[in-house]
Amino acid sequence: MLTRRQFTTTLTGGLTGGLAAGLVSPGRGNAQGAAIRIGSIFSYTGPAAFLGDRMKRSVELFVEETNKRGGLNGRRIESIIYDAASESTKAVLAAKRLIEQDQVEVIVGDGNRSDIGLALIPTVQRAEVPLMSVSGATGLVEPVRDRAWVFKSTVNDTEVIARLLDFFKKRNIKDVAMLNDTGAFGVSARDQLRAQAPAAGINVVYEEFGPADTDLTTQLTRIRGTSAQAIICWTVTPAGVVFLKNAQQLGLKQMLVHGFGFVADRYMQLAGDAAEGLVLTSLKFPIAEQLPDNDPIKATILDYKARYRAKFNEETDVYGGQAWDGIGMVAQAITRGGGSERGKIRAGLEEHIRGYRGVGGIFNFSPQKHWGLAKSDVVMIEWRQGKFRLVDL
Amino acid sequence: MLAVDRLPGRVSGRALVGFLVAVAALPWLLPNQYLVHIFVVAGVYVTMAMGLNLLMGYAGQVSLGHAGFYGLGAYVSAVLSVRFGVSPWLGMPVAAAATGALAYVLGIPTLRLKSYYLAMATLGIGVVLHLAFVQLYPVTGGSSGLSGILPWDIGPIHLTTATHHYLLVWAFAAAALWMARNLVNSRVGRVLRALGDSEVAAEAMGVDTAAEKRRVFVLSAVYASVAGSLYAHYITVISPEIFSFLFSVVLVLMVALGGIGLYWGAVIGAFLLTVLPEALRRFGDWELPLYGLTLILVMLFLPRGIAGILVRARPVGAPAGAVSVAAPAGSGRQVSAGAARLLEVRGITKWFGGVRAVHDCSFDVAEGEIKAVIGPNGAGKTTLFNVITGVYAPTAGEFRFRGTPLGGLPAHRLARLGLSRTFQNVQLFPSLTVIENVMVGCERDAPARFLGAAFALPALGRESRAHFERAERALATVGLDGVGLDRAGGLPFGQQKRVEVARAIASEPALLLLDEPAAGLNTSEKVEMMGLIGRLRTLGVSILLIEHDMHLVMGVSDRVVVLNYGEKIAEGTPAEVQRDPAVITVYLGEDVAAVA
Amino acid sequence: MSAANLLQFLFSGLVVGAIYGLIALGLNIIFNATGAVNFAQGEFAMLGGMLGASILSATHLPLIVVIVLTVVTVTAIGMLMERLVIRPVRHADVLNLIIVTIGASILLKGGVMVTLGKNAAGLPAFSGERPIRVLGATFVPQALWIVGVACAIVLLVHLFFSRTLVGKAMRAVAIDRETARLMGIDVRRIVMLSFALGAAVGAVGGIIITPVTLTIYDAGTMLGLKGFAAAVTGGLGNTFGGIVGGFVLGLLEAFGGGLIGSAFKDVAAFLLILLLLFVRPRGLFARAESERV
Repeated sequence: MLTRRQFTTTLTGGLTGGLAAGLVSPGRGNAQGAAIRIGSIFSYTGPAAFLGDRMKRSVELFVEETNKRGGLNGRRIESIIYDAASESTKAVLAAKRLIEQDQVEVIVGDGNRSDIGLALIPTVQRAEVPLMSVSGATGLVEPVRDRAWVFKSTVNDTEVIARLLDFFKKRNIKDVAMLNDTGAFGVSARDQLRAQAPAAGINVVYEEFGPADTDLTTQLTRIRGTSAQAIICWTVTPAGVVFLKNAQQLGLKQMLVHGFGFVADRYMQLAGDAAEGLVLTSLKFPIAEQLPDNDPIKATILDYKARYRAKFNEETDVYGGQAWDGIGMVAQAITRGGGSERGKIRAGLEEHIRGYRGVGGIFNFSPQKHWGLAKSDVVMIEWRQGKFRLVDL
Repeated sequence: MLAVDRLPGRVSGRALVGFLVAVAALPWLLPNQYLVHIFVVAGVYVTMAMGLNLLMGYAGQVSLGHAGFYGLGAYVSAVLSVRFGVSPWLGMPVAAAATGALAYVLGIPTLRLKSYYLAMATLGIGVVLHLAFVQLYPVTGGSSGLSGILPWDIGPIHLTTATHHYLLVWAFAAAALWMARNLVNSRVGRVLRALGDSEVAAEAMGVDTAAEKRRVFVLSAVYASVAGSLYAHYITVISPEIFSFLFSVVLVLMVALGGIGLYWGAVIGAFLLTVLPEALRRFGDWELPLYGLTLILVMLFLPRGIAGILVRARPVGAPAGAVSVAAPAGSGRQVSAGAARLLEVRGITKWFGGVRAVHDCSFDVAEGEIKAVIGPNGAGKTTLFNVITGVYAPTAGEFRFRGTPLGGLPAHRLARLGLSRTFQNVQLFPSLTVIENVMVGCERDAPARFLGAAFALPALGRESRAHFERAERALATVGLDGVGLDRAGGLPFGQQKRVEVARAIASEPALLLLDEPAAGLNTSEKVEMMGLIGRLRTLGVSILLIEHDMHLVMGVSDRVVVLNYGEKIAEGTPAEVQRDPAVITVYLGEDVAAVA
Repeated sequence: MSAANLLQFLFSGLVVGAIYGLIALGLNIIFNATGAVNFAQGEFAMLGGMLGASILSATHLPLIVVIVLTVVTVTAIGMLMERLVIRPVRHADVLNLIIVTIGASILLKGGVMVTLGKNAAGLPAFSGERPIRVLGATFVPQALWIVGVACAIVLLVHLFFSRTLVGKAMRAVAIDRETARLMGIDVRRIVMLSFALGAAVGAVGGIIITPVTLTIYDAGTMLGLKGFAAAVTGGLGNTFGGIVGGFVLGLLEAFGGGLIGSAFKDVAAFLLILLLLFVRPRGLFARAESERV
């Protein structure tokens, strides 16, 4: 048995040494031919984890393949990925570590949740490091003058809501109910709907639920009593499945619609036949096979899916695709813009991403516009007989 | 001569200064701003942990909701800055005041609760606050968060780098640490630790435990609020998820891992739990189970936390001396010859649910008298005591002390009027030293001024020294001079009883209630106790005692009251009572009574 | 607000309440034997759901077999937890036990995340999903299972504590450990048994609710929290009190959310708990207690 003093010293020494070792990052190579460091922050633990996993792997896949082909401008990419654990405090720490200690040139991924992304903005703006966001809130990239260093590889929820309203108008639906979760994603969409619905002539009843809720019958019962013809649910969590099952239980006949955060085969399977006929807003990704062959991004999507499947032996999803596009565009900005320093990458993104064929859609950045996708990249799909199917292009 | 300034558990001023100097130098030793940033966050957390430690470790009140106060501080000053352009220098105190007020109001009902119920209530408070942050969307921005919070600046100077913020945050943390140190070292710290050990005993010694708990609760809430404001204006974007229940748990973990009730424990714990997740980053997914495993291992092997390793247990010291036979210096109250009625008990009845413990009991205690209450087990003697000292409220009846009616007053008020007591199962403060136990007896004079203690006003130091001297004299009276610095919980039982008596003596009561003073003592100790009781009378203390040992009772008492099944069945001089047939029946059975 | 709607709220509240009550029950069993609140109780329920779903998808055995296997496994985990985590705690005061069970809950949560994955999982409903209509309100057959099994377990546990020798021994241990030991009760075995029971009850709870609520590696946190609230409402340690507390909480959520607004759902529940604690600090069913001084 160790004496008390020996035990204390060993423990303190071990603890301090271990902590110090954990805080240090591996050193940089020397300047010439040194790797290009690209940082990433995803939440692959915590409530947002199931999204973050595929994003992380997509980045890893891209980096591996690019390096096999000789890297960017002859230099290999070194990818450093940190977990935000679905917490903005940790995400900010991760960003500072990437920027100050790991000295990355660009960050792809913002913790895959809108409030986390927002928390990163002051840090990247002040440090002047480009950030490629993968979250939906419009506030991440607007107003551009305050977001000079922030770009987004997914669609703004402004456009998605606009597309959804178009769809309702086409189907002559005038009254809808919106059931959003109280998380950042749901709240942002609700705000967009509030802003846009009146002009579209659509009346909305608003209800909400907590992201971890396991029973939505109360809210649905209240909605049942209104004149809503369609019920929209907006969440990324499994509560969205409970929504479907509860709606089935209550025998609701309205059209059920889910947001673009819910487009996952797994969720549909968990809902069983309650998901039959569910309409979703989405990018083209899930129904790539059904696109006409002359669709500009069909080949890109199928290619990415195949490569991911080959490497990881599982299917990727539209969210992994957001990260894939994110790092893809950064890579293009580096190779076409000619520089891999922070400022050059930013300029490269603004100048050299035009008509970029990503798996999410066709991206166009410009100095005034840091979100690449438009309403036309959003489609309406439905789940029928075990597959997503295109409903409205 | 023992010095009050060298009591164990005191936080050394030099240690604190040394620590702060090291903290001030740190940013220049760190290679990059990321590491500095970690320690900015650590500074915020240290402030919170220190406040929480005062509440949980010293006063013994669990809180699982402190993230709520942290959030309140952050949101109030953030919203003021975003919506009204208020500077953080104004926003922070406004937030602190609001949080403190809320904590005060909530503290009143909450702190009446104990253990898991208290934990649940504080948890509830934290959850409701968090839900408010999420739901009050127009004000707080809801889950999307609130951005555009005004950053810290000092006049025209904008703070930009992590180092600037580090110095600012640690300036506040230093003030928090300094105030906490003052509190810990002062009377207030002693009172808090006492109440964490035994609320009942502290109350009996004149400590208004409800008020003390509330004060430290408010203080810990204010600390958390200040930390929240510091953080909000540093990060400039906040969202409710930062202030969730899970973070309340992390705060508790900081205090527990660091070493609960140990001043430096809060500091160590806060540093550890800020740095640990960052150091575990390379483990990816395994970080979470590793974190849980670390907690378990620390709790199993270091139950007193990491700071607990550094605290060495004091060995129990020299054997106690005999009861001093010389008359001690000190207050000798004049015993008036004409026996004025000190305590009048009239018709006291106490029911516990369906059990009638005391029924219609009446008697007096005269000034300068030693009166004993005897009776078989379960006769209601201790219940009677507990009613008289305010531990229980009587179901019926009243009692007066020096003519003032006292029914229903809380125990600490009674103590302040001049009643003091010992307990049947000794209620010492086991984690305090012996001398500190006795010093708590002095608390009945006047409550320690909280703010005065926090700012280490010299008057409080003088009070402490005066208490120390009184305590020393009291210990000398009971013959325990040598054990002053020993941990009270480690003493043998007989000595513990004497410490309790010393504590009661130190409170300089007019009436002292002794609950079975001879229980658990051997023969020679009992003789000493009898001598002690006799000597107390010469100090001007009137005594009411419960006892089973007839030899002691008959030896020291002037008059005896006999209870049976809660009712008084006899009263008189020891000789009268011994011959009373009713008394003999009760103790020895009817046959013997008939024979006698 | 129509009668059918009110009835619907009632049904939702009862189902949700039964879930909370089951968690509270597991908590109370362990509390009764050890005096400790097990902050990992929600994780036992989560384990029931996640393990059940994993075993089912890996082996495709009949559901009943999967259920038995799952409950046995989770019970073993509970016993392991007692042996490795709870028993070695030396200063068994309230705070240390809280920390150590929180550590265990994080370990279990992280362990499931790493081994079974981060995705949500489900189980097939026991008797199909055809909704049953009663007077304009509906519920699924699984709801009957949930409420029924919950009540049955509560009854069984109550009988266990009041009629069997082992159960009484368990209660004795809770009241006074030392004396129980002196009376010849093997305290260690009893404590181990209480964890086994608590884990089993938790696992069963998790399994019967997963067809309705789905499960995911971090589902245990909220469940544990609500279960704790239910237990405290009914009075910690009171077996019946726990299930009643669960129903109170569930009904409050349903009616609060239904009548006032969904924003109030969670808030109403916790506000009521707070009010209750302020007015009746020992829970709904506590008898007036006094501390012997």
